[in-house]
Amino acid sequence: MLILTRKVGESIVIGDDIVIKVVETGKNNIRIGIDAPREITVLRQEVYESIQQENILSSKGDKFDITRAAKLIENKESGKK
Amino acid sequence: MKIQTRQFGEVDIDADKIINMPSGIPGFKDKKRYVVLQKEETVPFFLYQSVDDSNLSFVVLDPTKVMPEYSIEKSDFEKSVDWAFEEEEISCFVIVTIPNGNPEKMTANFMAPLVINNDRKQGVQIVLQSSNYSHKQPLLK
Repeated sequence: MLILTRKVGESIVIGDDIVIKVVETGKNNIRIGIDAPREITVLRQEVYESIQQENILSSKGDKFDITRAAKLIENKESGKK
Repeated sequence: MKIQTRQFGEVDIDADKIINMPSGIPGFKDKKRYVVLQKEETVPFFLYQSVDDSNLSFVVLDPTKVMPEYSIEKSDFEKSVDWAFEEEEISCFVIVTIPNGNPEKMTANFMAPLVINNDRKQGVQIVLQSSNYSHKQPLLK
């Protein structure tokens, strides 16, 4: 991993159009500003990983369970009316 | 055209119903073409089936079916796509996880809905970063 030292207010540039700026530093955290083109998704790593994990779990669904789950939802909805 | 699917077997689909996902789906970046399928016995769920991988499908649901107040704002995803929101028809699904053998424990990811532009036949999974929606919201609570 490339490691660079920056001061508050300084930036690094990745490629032609991604700029990452150190906005503020605290004791245990730093605030970072990011400029990137719209097609680049910027997410906190733990958020990205939890979404990826849910997608993987969803893709393992079994048709028998889907049918049962569908009945459970329909029963719940008809119970409301 | 006919495609094979793990859940529904062989299915005949309309080629112009295919939805392109240029960035794929997190976890499955290289799968870019999907169709929305539904069978009577799995209503209200839909299957978001990969056209290129018979084994890959996601269980999806119209979020307002279980959370009528759920909504996404233009500002939630205008950074991700350049769609004309006023003119184009957009659908929204949440991806559902049904644990094997434990359907009563199913959850849905309201934090990262699947948004489809029906005019462009284009889809994207967006992340509502500033919302309080859960990525693991129980559906039977």
